[in-house]
Amino acid sequence: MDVTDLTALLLRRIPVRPLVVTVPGGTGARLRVERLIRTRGWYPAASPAEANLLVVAGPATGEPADAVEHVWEQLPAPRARAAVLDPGHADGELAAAEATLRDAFRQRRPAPDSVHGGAEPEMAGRGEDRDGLTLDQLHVPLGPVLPGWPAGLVVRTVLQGDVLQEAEVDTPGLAEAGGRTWWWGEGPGPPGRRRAARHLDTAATLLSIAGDDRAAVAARRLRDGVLTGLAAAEVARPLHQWARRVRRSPLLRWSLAGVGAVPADAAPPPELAGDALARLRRHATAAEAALDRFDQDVPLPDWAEQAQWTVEALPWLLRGSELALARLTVASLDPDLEALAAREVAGA
Amino acid sequence: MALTGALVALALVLAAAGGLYGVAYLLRLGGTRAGARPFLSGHDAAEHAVSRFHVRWYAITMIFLAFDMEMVFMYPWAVVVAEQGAKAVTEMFVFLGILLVGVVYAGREGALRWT
Amino acid sequence: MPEPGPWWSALLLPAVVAVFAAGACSLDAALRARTAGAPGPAAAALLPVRSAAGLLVQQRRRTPAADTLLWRTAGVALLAAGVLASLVTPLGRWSVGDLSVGIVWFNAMEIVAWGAVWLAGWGANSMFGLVAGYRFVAQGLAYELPHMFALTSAAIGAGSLRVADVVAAQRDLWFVVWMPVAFVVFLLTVLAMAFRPPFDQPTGQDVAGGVLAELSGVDRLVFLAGRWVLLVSGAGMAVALFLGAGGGPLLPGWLWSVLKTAAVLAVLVWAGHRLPAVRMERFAEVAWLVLIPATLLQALFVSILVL
Repeated sequence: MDVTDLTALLLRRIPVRPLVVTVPGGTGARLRVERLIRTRGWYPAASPAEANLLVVAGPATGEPADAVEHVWEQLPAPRARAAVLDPGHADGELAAAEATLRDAFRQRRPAPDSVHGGAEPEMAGRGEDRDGLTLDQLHVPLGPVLPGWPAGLVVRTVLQGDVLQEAEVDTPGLAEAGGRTWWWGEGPGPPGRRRAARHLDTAATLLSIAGDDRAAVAARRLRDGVLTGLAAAEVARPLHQWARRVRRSPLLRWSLAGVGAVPADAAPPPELAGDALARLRRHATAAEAALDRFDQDVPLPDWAEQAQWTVEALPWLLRGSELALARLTVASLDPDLEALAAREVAGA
Repeated sequence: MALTGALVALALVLAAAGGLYGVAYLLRLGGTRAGARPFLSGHDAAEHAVSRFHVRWYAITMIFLAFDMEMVFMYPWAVVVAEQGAKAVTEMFVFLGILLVGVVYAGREGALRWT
Repeated sequence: MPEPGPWWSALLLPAVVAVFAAGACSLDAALRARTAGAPGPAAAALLPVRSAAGLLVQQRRRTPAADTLLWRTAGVALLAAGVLASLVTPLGRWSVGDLSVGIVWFNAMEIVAWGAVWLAGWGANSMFGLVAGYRFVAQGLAYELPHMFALTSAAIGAGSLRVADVVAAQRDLWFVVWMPVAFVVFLLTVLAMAFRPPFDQPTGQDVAGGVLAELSGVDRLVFLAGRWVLLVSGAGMAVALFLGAGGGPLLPGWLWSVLKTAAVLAVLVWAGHRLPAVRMERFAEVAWLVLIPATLLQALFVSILVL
C-alpha cells in the first residue's frame, strides 16, 4: 500500500477535536453545537494547535470575524471549519465539516505558510507592578476567541508574570448581534426551562475552568436534557445528585472560596454577590428550584442588568489578580452580553 | 551491567522517538507550519512572550533549596541508620525538626502564599 | 528476590511501559466517554490509537522566534526520562538494571520532568505556555519534598537504596501496612509529577492547554506519551516500594507485578477523573505545612522501628 493511501485511511479514523467560537447572537447555535459534539463523542480542543475543526456559532462580522480568521490561520492541517448561524442547521454543518476534514484530497492542498501580515512582536517593556517592582510587562487580550469565555467579551490586560496589572473591558461586535438574545427572548420553549438551563450552563463553564470536567460535563448533559424537553421528573434525580455534589465538594470549596469576591459596598446584583463559590452554589440551587416551574411562564432574572454591572466591575475586580483567578472570576460572573445589547436596542 | 541496560534503553527510546518522527514525516499532510502565531484569543502578540517572569513564589525556592540539600544527605543516611542506631535517628530528626521550625515560621510570615 | 536481567531485557522495557501507558490512556478515555454520554466506552478504548494516528498525520507548527531546539527537546526528554525511571523497577523477579542506588536513580529521572515541562512552556514563545511552565515549577516545589520523604521512608525500612532490597524486605509484610502515609503521599505526588488531574493546572483549560497550547503533530504525540509513561513509572515504583512488587500467592511473580501496577494505575486515572483540579497557590501551603511534617513523622516512625 502506498503511504498516501495510508494517510487517507488514517484521516478517516482520526478523532475530531472542535474549537467552538461563540460570537454575540450565537448562543442558540452554541448550545446545539455543544450538544452534538458531546453526543458524537468528540472532545473540545483547548487551543487552535490541538483543534482540527473550527466551529463558529453565530454571525461573525467586524472585529470578532477578524479574530476568527486569525485563529483559523493557527489551525494545523488537517482542518475544517463550520459556520453555524441557525441551531437547526448545526447537524448538517458539522457533518459537512467532518466530511471535509476526512477528505485527504482537500486536506492535502498546501496550507499557506505564515500568510499573516501583522506587526512583528517587540521585546517586552517594563513597568511598575502592584508590589512596587519594575518588571517586564506583556499586553495580553483575553477574548473574544477563548474556550470557556463569555461571547463578545474582550478584556485587554497588562500582564506581569501571571498577574493582571491592568484590565480594560471591551465588547466588540455587540451592535452586530442586532439585539438577538437567546436566553432572554428568542430561545424556544417556556422561560422556566431556559432559566434552569442558563444556571446549568454558567455552572458548567465555571466548573470546567475550575478543572472539574466531570461535574462540568454532567451539568451540560442536564442543560441539554432541560432544553430538549425532558420531563421534570426525569431530570430531578440527576439534577439533585449533581447539585448536592457541587455544593458539598470540599475540593471545589477549597479552590473557589474567596475567588473574585465582590465587596458588599460595590452594590452587586444579589445574584452576583459574594465569591465564585457562593455564585456556583447559588446556580446549583437555582437550577433545582426551577424544576417545579419548568413549563411555566416564570419571570427571568434581569441578565442585562447583571451583565451591565459585570462589564463595569471587571476592570477593578480583575486588577491585581492572577490569570487563573481572573479566569475563574469571569466564568463565575458569566455576563450575558446579548441580553445587554438587546436592552440597548430596545431602549434606543 | 546496569549501565549497559540504561544505555540500551536510552538508545531504544531515542530510536523510537526518532521512528515516530520518521513515520510522521511520511504520513503528514503538510510540512511544518512556520510562522504560526501563538494563540492569543484571536489577536497578534504585541510583545514576545519570553520575558523576565515575575516569579512570586521566589521565597519558596529558597526554603526548598535548604530542604533539598538536606535530602541529599538523607539518602546515604537511610542506608546506615539501622546499624548506627538511636544516635543517628536523633541527630537527623533534630536537624529536620530545626528545618521544619523554619518552614513553619516562613509559613506564618506568609512565604508559602502568593496570591 | 529480584535479580538484574540480561542487557537485552532493556529492549523489552519501552514496550512494556508503552502497553501500560496505552491501557491507562484507554481507561481515561472510557471514563470520559461514560460521563459525557458519548457512544460506548468500548469505542473510547480505541481512542488512544486513533488520537495517535491523528497526531501522526497532523501538521507540525513552529511559532515565530520560538526556542525550537529546547522546545522539541522537551518532549523527547520527558519520554526518555519516563522510560528510564522504570529501569530499576522489577517485573516479577527481573529488573533491567538493579542499581545499588535505584531509588535515587528513579528520583533523578523524574526530576527531568521539571526541566522538560518548563521548556515546553518556555520554548513556544507563547504567553499561555510560559505561564503554565512556571505553574509546573511552582507545583514541583510543592510536591517534590513530600515525594522524596516517601521514597526515603521505604529506603529506611529496607536499609538500602537498592530496589531489590526494598522488595526483599517486604517478603513478610508489605511496606504499605506500616507506611500508609508514605504510600498515599507517594501516589498523590506521582499524579502531580505526571501533571495528571487533579494536578493538571500546567495544562489547564484556563490557560488554553498551557504547555500543550502550541504543540501539534508528532511533537504533541511525543510529549503526551512522555506524560503517560511518567505516570506508569510512578505506578510501577509504588508497587515495588510499597505493595511487595511480584510477591503474592499462586500466580507467577511477573503476573503479580503486572496486575498490581495495572490496579495502581487504574486508581490514579480514576482519582484524576473524580477530583477537581488543585491549584498550586492553595496546595503549596498544605504540601509544606501538612504533607512534609506528615511524611517526616512517617520516616521517624520507620526509623524507630528498624532500630
